[in-house]
Amino acid sequence: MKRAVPGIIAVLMTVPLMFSAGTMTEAAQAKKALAGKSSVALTVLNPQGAVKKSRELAPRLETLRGKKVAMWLSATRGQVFAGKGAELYDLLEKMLKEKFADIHIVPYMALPMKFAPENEVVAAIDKTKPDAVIAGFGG
Amino acid sequence: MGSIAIALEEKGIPTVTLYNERHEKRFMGTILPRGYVDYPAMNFEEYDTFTSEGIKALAPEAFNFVVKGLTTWKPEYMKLEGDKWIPKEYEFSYSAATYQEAQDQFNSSFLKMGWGDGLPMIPPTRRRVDALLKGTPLSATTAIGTWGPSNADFTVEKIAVVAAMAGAEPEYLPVIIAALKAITSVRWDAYFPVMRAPVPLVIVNGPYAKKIGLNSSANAFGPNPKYHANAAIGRAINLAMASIPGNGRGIKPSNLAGNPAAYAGIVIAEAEDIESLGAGWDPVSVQLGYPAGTNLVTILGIDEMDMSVAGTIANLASCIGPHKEIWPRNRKAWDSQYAGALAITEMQRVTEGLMGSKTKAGIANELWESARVPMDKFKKLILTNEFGDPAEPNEFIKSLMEDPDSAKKGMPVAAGPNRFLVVVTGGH
Repeated sequence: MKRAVPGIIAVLMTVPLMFSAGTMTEAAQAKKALAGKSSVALTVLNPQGAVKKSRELAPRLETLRGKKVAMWLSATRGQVFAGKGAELYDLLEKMLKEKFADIHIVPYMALPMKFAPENEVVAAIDKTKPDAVIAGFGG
Repeated sequence: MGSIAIALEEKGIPTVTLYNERHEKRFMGTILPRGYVDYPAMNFEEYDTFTSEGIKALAPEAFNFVVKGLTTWKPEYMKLEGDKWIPKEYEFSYSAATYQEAQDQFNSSFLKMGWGDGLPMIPPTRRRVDALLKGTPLSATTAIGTWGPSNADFTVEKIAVVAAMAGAEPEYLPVIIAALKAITSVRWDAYFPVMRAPVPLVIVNGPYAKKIGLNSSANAFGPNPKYHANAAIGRAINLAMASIPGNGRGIKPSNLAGNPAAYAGIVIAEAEDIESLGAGWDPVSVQLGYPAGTNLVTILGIDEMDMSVAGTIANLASCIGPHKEIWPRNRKAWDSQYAGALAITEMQRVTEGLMGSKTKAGIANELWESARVPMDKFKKLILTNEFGDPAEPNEFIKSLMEDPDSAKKGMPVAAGPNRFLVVVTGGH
């Protein structure tokens, strides 16, 4: 049902990009010069809709001091979808131990590094009797 | 991952989740529909999580979030009012030396909050929103539906807010509302938007389309300065889908390639007043069982388009491949699902009566027959498990495969030719 157009249907064109290095700096300076001279107020409405409350989160802890925190990582180091999540967990563990001297960490290596089957993963985490869980990094 | 976090929460164990943005839609698509609108989750820019330097840079923020999420957590952008989470701020104010600067502040602030498409937006001031509300007889507080991962209320006022942001006129509002009423009548994840980026194709029938200047002639799918309505309505619908729901901030865009049609949408009016079109060329509204002349908005969620000028029915049919994620699993879904829409754009031939004996039904039948998929290909595309290994068909799919026509001609992609919409619009 559409007109037949024989021959070339695409042409490749390349043009080197040219710009003035000073332009962006000048624009920023102009904005800066205007700052602090407020005389116009613009008020706009929020587009976000309301949402019915239907569930409660588990009660949060008063502090992480003396608590057992399980760090569940849903992927092994080689699984690209999780990025370098394991490195972040290593850093977080170090930071948590520095900030909360008596915190007890269940390291991700001691938990299943996968996200399925779900009941198996939940049972393994639950078995360590954690007070709280840090979950990540995808899946 | 989301359902594991929720299972632990339901055991009374507080959790916090960190992930890169690739998992945003899947994670929030699990957490939010279950009612955990206030769940503490933090997502990172994907590239930041792919390098050790990126990880080091985001660690302090992640640490603070983890501590807050497990102890003093309160949602940042929503507050409880009765049995509803509502936005903390009903409105935002921006002060600057000039109006232009205040407008720039508004634009960058809204984009930062996830509301917007990257193009400049019109400030949704009280005055502008009130002007838009004059375009509908509905009250501002009327909720036309709930939708999105969090099942947010789509009230007429919130729709008018995004319509203002998109640059819509008051008379466009009835079309925008009707389109969103149709969209919110379908579950958020029913069309697999978790990973993909389907865009609603909006087909408008009836005299109202012409009254408000919806294009059904030249360049109907593209910009046409003479017709402003198509782009503004399409943009408003897409902004509404991304901005109104969520959990305090807009829905993150697809982490796959996305769809350029999500900017201005795909809104077309059907050309219904072509004298040379007689029997067999009833408009879509009539095809769907409404009286001729009905003002009707029809929505089809599509994630692939072929805009080829050199297309043939066979070429177009090859684009309608079966998708495992949305392939009907039972007879009811099969019978009710539409496979696509074909826009007849060859207006010169249409207006000059050169379509010969062709009819919409005949064209739909040709498309349906051409779109059949060889059985081997169908098995590879549909009959696999989540790891890509072969899987057994369920009873319904088995019955489709056992149809003699399926074995001989290939698997059909829809229950019948009437599962394609044929629309006459645009092009000269």
